[in-house]
Amino acid sequence: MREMWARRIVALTTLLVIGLAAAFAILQNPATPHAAQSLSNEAARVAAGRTVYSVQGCARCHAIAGQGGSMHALDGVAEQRTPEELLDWAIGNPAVKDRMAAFIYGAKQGYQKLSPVDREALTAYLSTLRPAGAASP
Amino acid sequence: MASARRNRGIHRTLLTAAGWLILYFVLVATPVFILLIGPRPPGTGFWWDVSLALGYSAMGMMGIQFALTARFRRATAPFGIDIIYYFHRYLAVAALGLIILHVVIVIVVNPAASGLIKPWTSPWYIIHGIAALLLFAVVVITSLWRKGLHIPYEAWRWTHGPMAAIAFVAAIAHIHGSDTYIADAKVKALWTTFTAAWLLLIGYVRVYRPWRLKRRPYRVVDVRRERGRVWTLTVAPEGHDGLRFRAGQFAWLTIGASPFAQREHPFSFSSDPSQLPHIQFTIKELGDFTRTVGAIQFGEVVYVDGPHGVFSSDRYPDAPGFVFVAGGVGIAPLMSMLRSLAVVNDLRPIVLFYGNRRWENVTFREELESLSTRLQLNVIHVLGEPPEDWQGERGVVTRESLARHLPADWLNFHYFVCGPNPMLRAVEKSLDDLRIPTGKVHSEIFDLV
Repeated sequence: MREMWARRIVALTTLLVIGLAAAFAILQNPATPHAAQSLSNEAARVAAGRTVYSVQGCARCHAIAGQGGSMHALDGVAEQRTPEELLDWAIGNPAVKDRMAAFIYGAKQGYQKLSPVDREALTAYLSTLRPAGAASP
Repeated sequence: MASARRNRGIHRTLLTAAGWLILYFVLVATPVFILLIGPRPPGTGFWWDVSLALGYSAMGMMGIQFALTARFRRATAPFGIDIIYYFHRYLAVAALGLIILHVVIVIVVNPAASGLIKPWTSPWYIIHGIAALLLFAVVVITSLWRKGLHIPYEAWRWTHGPMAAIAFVAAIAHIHGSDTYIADAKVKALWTTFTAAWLLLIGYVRVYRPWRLKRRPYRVVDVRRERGRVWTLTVAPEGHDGLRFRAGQFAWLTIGASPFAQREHPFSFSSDPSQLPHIQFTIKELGDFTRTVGAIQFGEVVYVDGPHGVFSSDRYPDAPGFVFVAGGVGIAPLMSMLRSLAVVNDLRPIVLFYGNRRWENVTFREELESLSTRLQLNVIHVLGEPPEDWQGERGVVTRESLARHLPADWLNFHYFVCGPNPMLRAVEKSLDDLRIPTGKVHSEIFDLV
């Protein structure tokens, strides 16, 4: 009988953890409309790019202003790469295949499915990233 | 008056149990709440974030595992430490399942990032994550199927804790390496404290408790052969006043080794507390260790970690009577209770259903006969292989055999069941069929791993 209660509490724990994980994910990823299809001005394009960055989970690996993954900080990247290079690196275009680890190149291939509008928005956002401490977008 | 006192006692136990359960659920939820403290980076995608939160929470669950087996008496008392160990087992399966779900989501969302396709090209923290997953899986599999895998208890006991600790440390490294959501200094400090606290418990279990036991040794003063390949071991404290226990409780016993060696085995006390400071354990020759019990020498040093458990008739002074059900050496804690009841001339009615295979192997047969004259005790022997002229119950204890011998007022009696797990489950089911309230059925699971 006590075994049955032990199993029930473990089942409840599992449901609680899955529920908390889902709630956390919803809190972190509020529903946002897909990147605007028509971007009439630069500010809107940068804002849409920030959304693409968030929705695509770029912060899994990259940090901006100390927030995000530890693999490669993006502060100041706008001063190191042209917009075209930024896109090549962001979505793992063949042009940069030999310049990044196979593991990373493989991981980036998932972003090849980004629409042209999303690519443009993401590039616009990355182009605003100044070195840490400099004026941020 | 007595009823009000009994109800107060039950309410206190329930409140204490509820308090510990609330603390447990708070600890389970803590990892996600730590992630929500302070400034948070933007989301990393719904499914990716679900996966991360599952990973953090599973770590919290694995940490709790160290507390569950630390044998804190106050925390285990409302539930019974035997069921806490079963809970430990079920929780490990659930936590491992959530870790696997964490990995599956990563694989589905971004296969390359999981590192499972080409682990050798992965960053170090991914390799640590994979190592933690594999080690946790080994720990769970070797525990669930130890007997089927023919792993000796002592080898399992030696490796179980260290493997779990290494897996836990590897998982901590995985989280710190990936650095997602814990980059903020405050969050990182909180997370580090939360996980380090569980590691401190390993020190408590592996160092502090053995050190305490080492300072309170016992010596073997008698080894007596009983019927049915069973031995009764009597030990006495040396240089200290020993422990106090309630009839029916048990202890972890270390024989022929240092407490630091973690070569301990759980056994019920079979003596009654009036014999203190002498303590008796009744042990059947069953496994690798118990087969050697007969060879234990007079004067040998042993260590006793106890008492543990809540399986005791002493806790129910207002019960109108008792029904005891024992299978084989499961009689040991019930003998402790019967002896204890005889010492105080307790004349409440008791029925003992005692299952054994053969009549000549019925442990404590003669003493039970003698106790029947001192107590209002009715012993119902149930034999699997009875002699030809046997007039009593045959086979195993069933709902029908229970119903045939239960006395008047049996619905208000308290029931104590101890024996091999299959027998335990069958008897619990029979008692449930007979509409015995769950709160009046007490069992002791002694086959923990």
